[in-house]
Amino acid sequence: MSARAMGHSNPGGRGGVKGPMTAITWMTGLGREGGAGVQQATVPAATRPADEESDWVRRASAGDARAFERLYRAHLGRIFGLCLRLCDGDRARAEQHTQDAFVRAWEKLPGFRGDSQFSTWMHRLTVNLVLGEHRLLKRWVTFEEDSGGDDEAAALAGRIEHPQDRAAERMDLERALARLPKGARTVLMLHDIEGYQHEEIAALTGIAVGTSKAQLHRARRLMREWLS
Amino acid sequence: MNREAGGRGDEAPIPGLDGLELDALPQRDLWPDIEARLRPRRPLRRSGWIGYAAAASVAALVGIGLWEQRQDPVAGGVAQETAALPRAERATLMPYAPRESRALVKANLKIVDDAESQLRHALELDPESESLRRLLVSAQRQRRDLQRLVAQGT
Repeated sequence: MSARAMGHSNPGGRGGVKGPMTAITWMTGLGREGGAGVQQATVPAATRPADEESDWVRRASAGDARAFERLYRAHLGRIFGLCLRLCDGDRARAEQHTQDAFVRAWEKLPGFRGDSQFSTWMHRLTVNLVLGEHRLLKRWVTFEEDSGGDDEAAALAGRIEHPQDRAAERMDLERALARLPKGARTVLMLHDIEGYQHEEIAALTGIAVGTSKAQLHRARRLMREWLS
Repeated sequence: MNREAGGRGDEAPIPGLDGLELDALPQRDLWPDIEARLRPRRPLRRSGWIGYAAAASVAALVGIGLWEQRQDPVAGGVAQETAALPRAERATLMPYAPRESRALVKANLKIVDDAESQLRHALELDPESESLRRLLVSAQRQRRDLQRLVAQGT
């Protein structure tokens, strides 16, 4: 498990906020607009006093919708970004999943005991919700597919190019991620970025542990080939 | 780059992955839609306990009530003979059915209705609770049994 995923380097929990929220670019160039619009980025979770968020959680758990809105604003970037990755860059679905996740969080909040950080709890709830729907709609049947649609992958990768992007290395990495077959990309994301273990990935996606390991191996191998 | 198939190189994470920006913002404010879906918060534990307690009392009372009716040979015999009669004749015999049995059944029915209502409310707050769902099914079954007894004129 990556250090970030374990929360060692970031008190925000698994894969917490590293800095100012910026647009995600590794999935089809979405968010290139920089998330402009009505959304206001609040203080990143990692730099917010822990007791302040605990107070929001306590009040929201008791029914204070305003306190829950503060939690929403504070964690929106992380959760929406997660949904965007899990939905292969589909913004409409990501928005719907984000809404569903926060509504589910509101319903489950009274059961949140504070054993983990709210960000970690919220993150896991979101992954469970999104992947649960995918299982329900049988969106994971293509875990054994080949590099899928290289035409589609190339189109996705092509949309990433942007003249303002100065991090060429990051772009190569993002382009390579976008090229991966869906199943391999999902496992790589869950394991190497989000910090889940193979047993957890298997439970979340409905695949076997061995399949998860094989997909991770495949994803890493392809990435190394493309990045070399 | 380690190109060995399944070699140690493939076991290591891809460098730079942990440096990717993970956050993104939607293009519109999602809060109004979310807020519209938030159900008012009520003390779940309190209503949950009430539901459990009511359901437990229902189970006990109904069980006792039905057992008493079965054990009472007079009431049981009357019930069997009554049930065998045509409907019109049964209606005339209603006033002669044991009042205590009818009252007990109706009292139990009211308790079951209350328990069912509280369990439904508790389920609205915790829709994924299997235990609450099982209790609701049990309460509904007992309500049907009691309604059948009332219909039979016992």
